[in-house]
Amino acid sequence: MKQSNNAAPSVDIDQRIAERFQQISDRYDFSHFTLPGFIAWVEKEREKSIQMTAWAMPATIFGAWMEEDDTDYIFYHKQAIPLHKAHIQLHELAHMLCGHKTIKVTKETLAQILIDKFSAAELLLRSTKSNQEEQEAELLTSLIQEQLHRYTRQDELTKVVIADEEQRKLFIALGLLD
Amino acid sequence: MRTFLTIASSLALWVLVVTKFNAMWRRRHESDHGPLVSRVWLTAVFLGTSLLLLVDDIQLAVGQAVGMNNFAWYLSYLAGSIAFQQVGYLSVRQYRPIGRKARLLFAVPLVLLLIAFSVLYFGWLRWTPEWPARSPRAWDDALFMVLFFGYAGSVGIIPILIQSIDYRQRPAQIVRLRTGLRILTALLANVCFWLKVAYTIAAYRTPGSPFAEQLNQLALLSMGASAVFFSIQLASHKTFVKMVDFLQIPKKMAALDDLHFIQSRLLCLCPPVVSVESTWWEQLRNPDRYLYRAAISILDSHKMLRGYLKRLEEKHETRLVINTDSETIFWNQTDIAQARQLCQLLQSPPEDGLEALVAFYRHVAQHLRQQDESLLASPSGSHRLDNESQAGVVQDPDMTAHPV
Repeated sequence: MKQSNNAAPSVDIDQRIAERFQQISDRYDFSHFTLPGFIAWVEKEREKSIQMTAWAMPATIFGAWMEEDDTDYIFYHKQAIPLHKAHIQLHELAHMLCGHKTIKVTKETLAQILIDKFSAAELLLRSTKSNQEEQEAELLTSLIQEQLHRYTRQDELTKVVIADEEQRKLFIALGLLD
Repeated sequence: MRTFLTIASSLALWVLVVTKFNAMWRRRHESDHGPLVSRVWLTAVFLGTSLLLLVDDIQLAVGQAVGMNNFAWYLSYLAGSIAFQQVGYLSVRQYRPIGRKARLLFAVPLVLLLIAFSVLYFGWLRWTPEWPARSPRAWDDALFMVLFFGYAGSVGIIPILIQSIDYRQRPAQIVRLRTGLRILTALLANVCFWLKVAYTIAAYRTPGSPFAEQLNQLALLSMGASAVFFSIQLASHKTFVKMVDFLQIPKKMAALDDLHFIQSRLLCLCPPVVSVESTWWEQLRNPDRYLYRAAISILDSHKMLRGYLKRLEEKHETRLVINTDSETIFWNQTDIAQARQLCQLLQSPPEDGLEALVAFYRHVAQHLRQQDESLLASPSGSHRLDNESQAGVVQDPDMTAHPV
């Protein structure tokens, strides 16, 4: 049915991500965590705004992160339930916090990707993010979640950030809406 | 040693009660609980006085001071009965409207009891020698004691009944735990008093009998247990949250097992890109976190499953071969049938949060297990197991897939 095994995170990755998480928790107070608050903090850290957008994603893509010069775009699966959406958003933020690279887009290419329903972008995204990066991002997400459970803030993991108005403005800017 | 233990336990109980009452006293001005706090203090004073007057030396000293034999015993039972009436009322007053109406059920028997005590004391007990021992010498002692313990035992029945109704009506775990402890406290106290009634009768009929002594010991034991549960039920909300969390661990671990069962099924069909491993001990320490991760993993796999099935339908193919970064996924017709069934079962998960989602997945797991059992029981069951062994259930199922 399937060949080869997907590897669990190695000790090196564990250690590196644990150190990264420590750096984050030294600077961010997880005892007052909210997803919008955390996004605002990441925006400040990266000195870029983050645009959350719900979109119909292909089967094997749950979320996507693309960047422009002054904006990070996070796309998450439109049909997912809120709990899942919040997790996807956190996972994509974890990519940023891990210092991973993603594809750079312009407004034109972004519009093309959205019209194209990500089919072309899927290959691009796969080439930019390795399996190891996925493991790192998921591990960091897991550590963040663990911290939230420690502070009994796990309810925040069910509250998705909905950016309808911003999304509408983006689509208008991309020429996808009148 | 025994004296030391008595003093130490009394001190501990008083510190606890005073601390708790003091907290209520501080809140007095912030709410309308002022009269309640006064009543609680009054009850404590009555109860304390009653117990104090039963101390042998104090009883003798009071008798000598007023020139009336057994006067401290009489006063002790009066104060004790009033305290029990107050405890009964305080236990049910918050359960409106029945709690308020129950006041008469406590007050009327109390008035009758106080009259009976007075008649017994001034008619008989006053004229008998001072009697600090807690066993009946004659019918008047026995009646005096049976009335007191009988009233104390009866007063507790009403709160137990009212709180039992409340327990059934309120599904919140924390409220249930606190109410349950209150019921247990009252129940044990009641058992103690009815054992005291039995002891009094047994000791009156056969003075110095070992059976009567055993009843007395049992009564003390159940009062001790009642005191322990009383102390626990005074604990803060935060402590109760922790207690409920602790008590729910077995249920959560069972839920986790169900979710892992679904994950193992999904693993055969669409392996995750990422796997975050966990030990059983880690899961036991933080079941909520691992329930969350397992639920996310199932959501991920379900989405992938749906996508693969859609791809099959679009291409009108009878087999599926997908090359991912790390592996090749191959589905034959049996796998496709299993994927379709799983996809259908996992369709439309609830959106009301993790608890509802876990309940939904437990239901799915139950369905799958039942199906497995019926397949095993059927003659063709072995065929399916062969297929499963080909698929190979692999590694820790605590994983989640996020290719991008």
